[in-house]
Amino acid sequence: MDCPYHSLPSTSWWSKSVAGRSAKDIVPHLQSRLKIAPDTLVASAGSCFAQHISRALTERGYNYAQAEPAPPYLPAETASRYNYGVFSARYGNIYSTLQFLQLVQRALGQFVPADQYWEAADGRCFDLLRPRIVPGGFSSRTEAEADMRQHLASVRKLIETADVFVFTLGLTETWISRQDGTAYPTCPGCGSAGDYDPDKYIFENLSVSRCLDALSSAIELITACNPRIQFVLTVSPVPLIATMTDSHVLQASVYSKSVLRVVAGELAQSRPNVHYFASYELITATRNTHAFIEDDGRSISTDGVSHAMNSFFAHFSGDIEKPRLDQSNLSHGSLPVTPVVCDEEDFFRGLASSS
Amino acid sequence: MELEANEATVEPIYVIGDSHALPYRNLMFRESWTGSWASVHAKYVSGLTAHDFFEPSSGDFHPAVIEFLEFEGLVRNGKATHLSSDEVDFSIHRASGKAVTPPLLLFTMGCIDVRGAILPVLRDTHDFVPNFETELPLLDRPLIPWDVIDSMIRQRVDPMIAGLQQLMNAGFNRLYVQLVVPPTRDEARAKQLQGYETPVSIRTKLVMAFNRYLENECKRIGVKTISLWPSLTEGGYLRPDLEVDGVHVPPKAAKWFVEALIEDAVNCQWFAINHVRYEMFYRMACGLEPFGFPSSSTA
Repeated sequence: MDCPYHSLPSTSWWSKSVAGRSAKDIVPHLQSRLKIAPDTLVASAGSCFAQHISRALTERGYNYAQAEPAPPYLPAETASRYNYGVFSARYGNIYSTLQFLQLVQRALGQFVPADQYWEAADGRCFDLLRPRIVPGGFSSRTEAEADMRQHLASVRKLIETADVFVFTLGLTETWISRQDGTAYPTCPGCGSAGDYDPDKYIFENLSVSRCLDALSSAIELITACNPRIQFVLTVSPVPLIATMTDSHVLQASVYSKSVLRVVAGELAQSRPNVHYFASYELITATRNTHAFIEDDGRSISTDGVSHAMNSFFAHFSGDIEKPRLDQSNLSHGSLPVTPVVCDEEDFFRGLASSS
Repeated sequence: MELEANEATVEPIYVIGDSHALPYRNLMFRESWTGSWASVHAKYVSGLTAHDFFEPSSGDFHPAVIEFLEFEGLVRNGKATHLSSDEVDFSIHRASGKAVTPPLLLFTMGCIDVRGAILPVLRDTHDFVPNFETELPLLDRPLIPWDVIDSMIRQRVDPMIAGLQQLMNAGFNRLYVQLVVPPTRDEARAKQLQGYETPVSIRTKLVMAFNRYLENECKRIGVKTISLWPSLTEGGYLRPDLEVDGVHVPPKAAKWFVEALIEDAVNCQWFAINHVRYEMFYRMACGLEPFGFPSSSTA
């Protein structure tokens, strides 16, 4: 009987598909079952890295879902400051699978967090689940709650109408309410909105099973609302800024990304409407990491982002190196290029300045 | 009509502003507290906005404002005539045969700022939550952040406040501002004017927000405001009997505004005393610059 390895394609062999190739020539994907056409309605959410995907979709003229578009007559710079257009709705960065599940549950009216708002001494009110969505917080609790209602209605509409949902898995380390398990994007009261209280909040490094359960549940809920929807999962290649575990941050970061990679892989293998995009491998697992990662060992370089985005479009739409569109041809929904909004980085920056 | 000898002089009230100055045109009446006649000198400046009233960086007023003040003899050579120690101004005032007091000035601005500059952000798609309590409903629509609305209001109002402060510095200490009147309830008419349909609850809330800021800022610098909102509204919206053309209130409402202005002026006679002139002569006696403010083509 012939050895089964003899019939493997070249993509199954490291020596044939990775060794000796420049990073930009490595295509770590087989043919995609999913095709994204220019008119495919694509939604996205996730960690900071996910913003590159949302921008690339918009800049290349794809049908990027905007459930909470900026008001037409709002100046572009103002719209950007208030986080319009960063993602498909104004949910801010979603770092953990548990946070994503709870967003879906809230949009479907299945979960109401017990501890969501925090009022500062000056009366400004912050949504702890979207701490930076409005600079300096909302002017009142009334406004914060009203905005949240509209936001969740928009998320529901997004879930019900999107053709493809791209979710970038970012972190496993998360802070959770002891009261009802609400997952926050950052630790409340640490250099940002909220009052840190160990009696109210507890740290959890979500395990593989916790992440898998959460993301599976989120996918099932969304699919129940929208049976034709397809999901693209990708793992952010950006390492942790800091770890709350008692491990070295490098170990903690690799562990976290490994957990998320396993979760994404499990779901892509077990569910026909879930697809995996290898942005993590593209950035970190080729020989060209020095070109794709900045000197801090953490920030993804412009080349790295471009390579990942080009690969995304090549894989899902056959769109190779499509030139950046002239901004003047884009609809009013397009926004000027601004730095990525990273709650995690702002959080730690705030923490540093408050210590 | 023959004026009696002791009523030969008519208290002038000067009104300048956008089209909301028009109902004041040719208004003359006997005011109820002193029995004196009051006559309104109104100047309509087409398209005048709070934002364009004064340019803080250059110190220039809208040219029509200065032209009006000069035409009415309130400003000459860039200075308030009621403070003037110029022989020509003394002669003019002496010839009129009446005491020279700081004039009563009423400004009507802001409506175009609300309808033309801020409302388009809300259009027919958005609502907002103001930072004050209101009975007006919040519609099931996406929201514009309050800070955005607030920022736009400040951007429109702050130049006007700077200009009013400049006038105060120049010795015009009897300044009044008519706050923006409630918008029309007639949704069809509002749509015809704006080109899109913004429900009356949102338009009214926006006017309320604008007026709150304008009123607070005027109060801060010592300018009086006249609102009459309770008299103009019913159930939170413009009284149906005050609907005219979708923008303005009828002349009878203009008379209410003027009467409210006079009532305040009567109760604040201190400001009518030209104490600024006394201060000016005191400064001269001390060897100081009598006017104490920049001399330019602006008041």
